[in-house]
Amino acid sequence: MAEPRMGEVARELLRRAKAGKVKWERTVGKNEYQVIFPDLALTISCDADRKHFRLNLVGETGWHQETLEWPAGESNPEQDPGLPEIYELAEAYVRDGTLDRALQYLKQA
Amino acid sequence: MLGEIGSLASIAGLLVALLGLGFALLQLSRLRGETRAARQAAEETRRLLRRDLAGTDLTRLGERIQGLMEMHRSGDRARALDRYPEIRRLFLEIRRQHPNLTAEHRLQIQSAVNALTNMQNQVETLTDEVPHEMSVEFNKILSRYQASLLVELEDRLQ
Repeated sequence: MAEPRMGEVARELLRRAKAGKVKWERTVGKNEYQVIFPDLALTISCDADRKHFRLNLVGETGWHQETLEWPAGESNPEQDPGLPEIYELAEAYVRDGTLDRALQYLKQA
Repeated sequence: MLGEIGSLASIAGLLVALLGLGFALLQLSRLRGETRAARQAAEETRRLLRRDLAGTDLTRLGERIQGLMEMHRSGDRARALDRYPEIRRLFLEIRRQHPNLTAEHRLQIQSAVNALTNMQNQVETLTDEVPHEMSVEFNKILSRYQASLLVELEDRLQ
């Protein structure tokens, strides 16, 4: 039952990320970004060739509690939860955020 | 004659009763003041105790983080693996014991807990000692906690 609920989480996350309402940050892991809530977090990651994406629900103690992968073993394009798009949005948010801050500091200096 | 004495006695009785009432009210007021002062003193003691406990927890946390950084530098994988859960538990304990932390501090603590779990997972998969590049990357993050998060928590809780 976890996968359909995680699909719902992914779709809501995508909707909010598109609206610019998600504060992404890079994690210690490679190719991984996270959004933190008061007692849990969501991480989005991908493999080196950007073919396999993973959304994790991380509990209070930092351990993964639920995972959604794309492409899934029996992937159905109609049920695409948009993980690649979420990953790209997270990546762009972190990259642009750093550039924006650099520009802001330069303009202030 | 007797009637007059009776009236005087009644008036005197009334005066004594009024004096008694005044005295009782005065005592009651004093008692309330003392109770309030005692309550304030107890609250102040509790506040100081909480502050001392927070200070102790934060000092211990800072020492444990410093120790972990040294383990990373020396590549001591086994001891580092024991240290991650301890630091994570200390962070979570601080968050649980101090409801007056800001929402931003709670988020930062959650972020630190996740980072420690992530570090632990990466070190767990190593077959040998912690490589230099990994040690540098992890210690950069841990230094940030020491320099900003712990200092901010100390300011907030002291």
